[in-house]
Amino acid sequence: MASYIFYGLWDWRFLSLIFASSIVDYYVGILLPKAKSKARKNSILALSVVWNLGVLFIFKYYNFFIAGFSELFSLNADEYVFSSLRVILPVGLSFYTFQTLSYSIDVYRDRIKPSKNLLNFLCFVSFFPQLVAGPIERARNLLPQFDKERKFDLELAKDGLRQILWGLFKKVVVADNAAVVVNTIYASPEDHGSLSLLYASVLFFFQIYCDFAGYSDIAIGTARLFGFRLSKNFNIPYLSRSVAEFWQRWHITLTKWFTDYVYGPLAKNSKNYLVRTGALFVSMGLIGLWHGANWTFIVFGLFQAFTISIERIPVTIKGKVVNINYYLTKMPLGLTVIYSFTLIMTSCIFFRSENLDMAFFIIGRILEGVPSEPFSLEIGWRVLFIPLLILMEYFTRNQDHPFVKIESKTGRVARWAMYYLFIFFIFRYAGPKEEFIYFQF
Amino acid sequence: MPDPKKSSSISSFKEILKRFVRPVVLFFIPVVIIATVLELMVAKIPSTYSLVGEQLEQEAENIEVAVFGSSQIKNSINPEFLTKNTLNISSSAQHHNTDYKLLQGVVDRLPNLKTVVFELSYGHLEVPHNSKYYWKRPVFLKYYGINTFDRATTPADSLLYMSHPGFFTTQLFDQYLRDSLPAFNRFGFDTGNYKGRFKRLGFDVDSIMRDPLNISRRESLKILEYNTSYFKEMLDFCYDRGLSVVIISPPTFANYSEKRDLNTLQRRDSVLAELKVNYPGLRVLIAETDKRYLVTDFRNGNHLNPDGAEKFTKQLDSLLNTN
Repeated sequence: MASYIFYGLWDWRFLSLIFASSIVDYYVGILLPKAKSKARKNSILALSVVWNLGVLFIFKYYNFFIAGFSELFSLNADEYVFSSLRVILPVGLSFYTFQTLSYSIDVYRDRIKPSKNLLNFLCFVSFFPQLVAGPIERARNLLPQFDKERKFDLELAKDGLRQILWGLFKKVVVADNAAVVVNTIYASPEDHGSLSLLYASVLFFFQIYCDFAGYSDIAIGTARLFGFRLSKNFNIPYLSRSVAEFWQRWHITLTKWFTDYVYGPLAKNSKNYLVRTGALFVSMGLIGLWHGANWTFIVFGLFQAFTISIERIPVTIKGKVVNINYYLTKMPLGLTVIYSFTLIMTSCIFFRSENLDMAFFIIGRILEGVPSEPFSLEIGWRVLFIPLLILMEYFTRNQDHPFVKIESKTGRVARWAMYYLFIFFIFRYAGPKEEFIYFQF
Repeated sequence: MPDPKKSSSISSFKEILKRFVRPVVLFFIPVVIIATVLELMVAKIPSTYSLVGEQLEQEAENIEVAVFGSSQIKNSINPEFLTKNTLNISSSAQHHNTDYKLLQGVVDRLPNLKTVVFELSYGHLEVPHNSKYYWKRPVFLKYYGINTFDRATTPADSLLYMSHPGFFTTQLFDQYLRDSLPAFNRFGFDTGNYKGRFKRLGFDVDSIMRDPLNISRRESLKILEYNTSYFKEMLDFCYDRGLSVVIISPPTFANYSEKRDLNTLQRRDSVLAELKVNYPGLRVLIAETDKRYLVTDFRNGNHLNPDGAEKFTKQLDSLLNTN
């Protein structure tokens, strides 16, 4: 009920959609084990796939494909039956449809037992902390937590509050301040030189990271207050040694989803480089498209697929088959981080740009070495919150968040002083309010 | 994350209160106290908003002119130089959608309102409207009693400090720890506001012209289409109520005006020309390139200082007094 109220506060009309999605997959889950033949099983699963992808298509991609189709055949979409729809994108649609779809597929594959409790299943689909922007939870992790009796877990709740604090710092202090620079410079890239554009692009990476990872921290922390454990979604992605590793550290639950349900079935454990590369391009292209109905997102995904495919090219040296990834793991961390960060940041330019022309213009202008007018940092010394974030995350890199072990290492006074300091940062140095970027997906 | 195998679960409600709720409440008490003190201190700071709010409350029956717009208007219209009692309800970064909500909020409270002044500066029609996160909404609610949230408000919506902690902390520092306090007149106009880029450059024209300045040159026809139709709706609203409308754009200095995108400018001028035809009696004062304004009249390329404001306000006054 709380989750439905939470969602309904945004737009109550779309409650029916999330309810319908839940009902479809709940009954698909009930019917699948009862199916007597493979064909029957397939057709029941098809119902879930068609429903979930259909909803996603209508609300998120219909206009994009109609526009593309019309452009391809030089048609005026408005004159034809398939005219564009005036629909708004329901918040969190991409997240909960993937969650329900994976449930049905997992039941189909006999990886989980179907839920027999409709109420718990509705809670699983609509669980409010992660409903609108993930992490995308698997039924095998979250659903059993609804099924079992819950007791208040003191340590989990305290840790949840700490993680919420860390998430708020990332979002309000780092992401929202970075957004000031990014919005200003990306609003008129033609007025800015190479250095300014590079600066804005680097900041955009940290903006999107702190925006999304900050939300994930808040979501995970909130869930912990209620005794739920959600999956980790980020693991210091800016310290990746390669683009391939980046995707094991960035939006981890989405990467795992596509690995399990798209890449895996396409590659089928093949050792053939071409087969794996083909599966990679399809998966990454779809990951790009998942982010939004725009060519910029598709190119964002394909660009990363291209770089990963290069990293994976097998080369035989002295009888041993290796690839660039192998060498990247042997090189100093600093060098490999610069390598992967440069590529990731470049792909993020596509992510942030309104269209491909703008993205190519910005990349070209950065490479041209256009002198920048003496530019200010825009946010002044607040930019130093980024190195502070990096240092804190680096030195606590094997933990869920930097405050995890604070209780065992410090006394209450020091601990509370630290919390108050971060609350002060959040109030005093909050950037202008910005909606979470991933709400739109 | 705590070890999942290590249980720290508590089933007694009393125990939860003692070991979790009580420390959390204790922890947040200082935060709440400090936030409350800051809120009270912010509410006591004299500001343009508080003074405009007072004017709105005390002089509502006498106000004949209401001026809406952004910081350019806030800095260029000093109502003390206008013959008619005028409410300048402009503020920085305030766009047409906010102007319209404020107008709708005040129109019934001003029985003698006859004229409405809107801003239509260069680029105004191709800049997106204020987003739903425009931080001044609590300010408008608190001081003007106008709901610009597009939803029912809650008590939290009136909290000023929380609406923009960074901004209000600076205001508190200025108010209580620095000497240079604003010199507001009763209309909320800061008559001592001479600080700015031009003053820092010693009003030296060569230095000013060499000084880097980025202005929006981004063309956006979609926004133009939307903003134009929205602006017409605002004009219709005024005309339906028998209010006369004046459209203004204050002077800018050459370092600003020469950097404007000519296509954007031309589109704005076309819209203006069309409005003049379709809205009889519409008066327009575009002073963007008025050479009578000297470098010493400006704070920066597109904001006048109080001297420039006096000149421009008198110019507007002449227009308001013509039929």
